Amino acid sequence: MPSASGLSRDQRIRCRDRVVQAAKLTLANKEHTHYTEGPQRWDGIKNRRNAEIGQFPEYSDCSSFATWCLWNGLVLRFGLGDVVNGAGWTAGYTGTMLEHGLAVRYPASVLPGDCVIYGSGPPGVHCAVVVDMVNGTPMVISHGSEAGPFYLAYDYRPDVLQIRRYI
Amino acid sequence: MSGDKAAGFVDDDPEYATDAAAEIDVEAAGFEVADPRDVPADVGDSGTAEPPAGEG
Repeated sequence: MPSASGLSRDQRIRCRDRVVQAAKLTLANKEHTHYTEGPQRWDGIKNRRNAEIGQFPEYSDCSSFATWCLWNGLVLRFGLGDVVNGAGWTAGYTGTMLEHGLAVRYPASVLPGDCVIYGSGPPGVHCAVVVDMVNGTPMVISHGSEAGPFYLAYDYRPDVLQIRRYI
Repeated sequence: MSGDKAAGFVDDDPEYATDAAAEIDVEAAGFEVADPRDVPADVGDSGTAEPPAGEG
């Protein structure tokens, strides 16, 4: 099976590092990042905020945050096109995220950099980025409100719709 | 969880499913795991795909 990104195995390892680094950096600076569903939510990508040099979005919502994390690995490291939303890295939401990447069926197969999408059905209502596994449970960083982001077990809410891989 | 059968599942390829997991060193240790009961309700996604500004 070709990977969702087209990257090689070794490239995917490096890409996941960058994605998780971006999510963790934003969590560590949660008091300086804000939640919005307005046009400013693409601040991270539009202003090319690079987590590797300590930059993170001032504004985002769940899907633009997840997309920015992936953009750090897929674009800043490997210069790839928008395999997450198919919108040239300028737009997207959980509905477009569901239309791209590959589905992960079992939690045991989940890897850092995968995304959990929540909702009762398409187009979904929320998403979060997997950052590690604790005792076999995928852990996510979720940015779903002004108080966020938060570090949580992937099933912190009961409506896990899909887990998708873009790397 | 539902899935996209048309596109297949990552799990259908065991090598890609695990994808060198042992070589990934990205532990988020040090962060406190939030209690979901203490987390404000997620506002939700914007629920719409704004027009792309063009391939970037």
